[in-house]
Amino acid sequence: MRTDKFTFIIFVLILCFSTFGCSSMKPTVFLHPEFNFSYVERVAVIPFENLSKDQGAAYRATRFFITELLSSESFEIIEPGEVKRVVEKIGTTRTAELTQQQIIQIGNELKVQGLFLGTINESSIQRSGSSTSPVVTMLVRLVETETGATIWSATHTQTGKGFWNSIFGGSDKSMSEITRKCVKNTVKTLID
Amino acid sequence: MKKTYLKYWIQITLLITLLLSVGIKADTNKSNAYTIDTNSVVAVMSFVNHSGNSKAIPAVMELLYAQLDLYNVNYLSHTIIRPTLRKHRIRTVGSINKDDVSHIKESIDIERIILGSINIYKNRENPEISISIRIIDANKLTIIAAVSQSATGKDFEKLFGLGKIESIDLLLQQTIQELIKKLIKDIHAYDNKAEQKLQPYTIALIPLDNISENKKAGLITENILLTTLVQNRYNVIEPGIISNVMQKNRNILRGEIDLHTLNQIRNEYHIDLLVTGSIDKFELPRGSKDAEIEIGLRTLDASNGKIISMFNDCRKGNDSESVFGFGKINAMGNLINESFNKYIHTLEKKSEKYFAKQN
Repeated sequence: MRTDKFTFIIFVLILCFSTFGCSSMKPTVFLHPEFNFSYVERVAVIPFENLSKDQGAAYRATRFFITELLSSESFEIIEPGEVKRVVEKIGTTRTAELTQQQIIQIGNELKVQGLFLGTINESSIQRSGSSTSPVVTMLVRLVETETGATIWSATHTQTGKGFWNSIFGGSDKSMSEITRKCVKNTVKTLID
Repeated sequence: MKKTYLKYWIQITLLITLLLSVGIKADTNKSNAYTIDTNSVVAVMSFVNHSGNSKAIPAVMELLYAQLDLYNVNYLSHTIIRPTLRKHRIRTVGSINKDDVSHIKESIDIERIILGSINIYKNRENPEISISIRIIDANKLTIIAAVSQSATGKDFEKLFGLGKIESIDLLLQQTIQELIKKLIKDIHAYDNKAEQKLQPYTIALIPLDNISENKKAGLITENILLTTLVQNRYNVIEPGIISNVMQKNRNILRGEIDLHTLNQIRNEYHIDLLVTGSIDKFELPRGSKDAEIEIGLRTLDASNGKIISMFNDCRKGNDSESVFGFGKINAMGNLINESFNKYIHTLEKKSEKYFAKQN
């Protein structure tokens, strides 16, 4: 009887770990409670800033982000080449930290109601013993272009190894797959 | 009992012999199935070499001319037209623009021009070749036909490891034979105005951005994308023309486009769609490691710059492998082709949906 109880407790604990020991934390989200999101129809995605050591991380994340937004069919997205032209015209290098004036200026130039700004804080391969696991952390926010106010922001970390893979082993995901997953989970917090 | 065993042995031997004979390629159907207009003079430009192997160009061009002779193509080789190119200072290889074509036509009366690229030429344990070729109408500057052919030695491997090609020369011969055969077939269809369901859109390709470790990845992938689009009956503007527009604007774009350049290209060449994108990963097969690519493409409505669709694909050579290596894609060119076939499917669906909504 005691053995049965003990086995049952162990089983429940394992079940809990597998459920909660997920391959990522939940995103930290801010959604402006009073803003009317239906007002935002046309948006531009400013190239994400890269604070990681992975050179292609921001470019990759920006592209996946645009794809994810497009597939949601929630916004009309401005061609990145045109966005780049306007951003270069303004002459800023820190694309994640635009001033209110710059945001308004870009908004007027591109005729958009919102700008997505983002940063890749981490994009690396973590090593634990003989196994490796990619990790991506991104911070993205949506600012409306009339006042420059942030109406949505999300910070999310995604890793490549889940609980079961850690125990039983399994194929590691590539950095692109993890980035894509991170982007998907981030966008989900805005468009559900 | 002994008779039964003998019967079984004979049956097994016959079966193996049959399988082997099916496996052995008997490509004797070389030249005469399709013929093309032999009055048209075709200028053959020297192929651009992305392989990094200097032996590739002479090897490829020699075999190319041998194949063109088999099909009785009336051509002027790159060595014959070299003085004309020098005279007009035409230095580009692999593509051509309006001005260069008119300069060439001043000196030589040509109807068509063959352009090509040697994408991959690897002489190793499992040799690998990838070549792209296209033929353009020198008067209309339209792409008549375009073909890419890729192969590794392992692609010819049949049962029990038999048939694998280990010599790059033999592999090159096989590849060029197939390449020219397909090209001639397409030219024949074009010349005889065979009924083909043409796609209603004219497409311009903006050079792809390359963030992979292979410096030539963008150029190689563009060539294969071009041939895939043409094979799927899209009317594609000759890339040399687009490059010329960007050079004149002093704005060389890769992976993106601004509205001003888009409007210029649209007005001048009446394009409907614009395609661009980037290559994130381009790893050739090495040892036990399979080929791997990561591609992102974007399709824009040329009338207003709207993004119609985005396509992202990560692919490895062993993704389609089932058992005993069957289904595995060994050649990088074929892997890229698989990815682009998926893109074409997406493009057709999304553009149809988009333009239906517009109407």
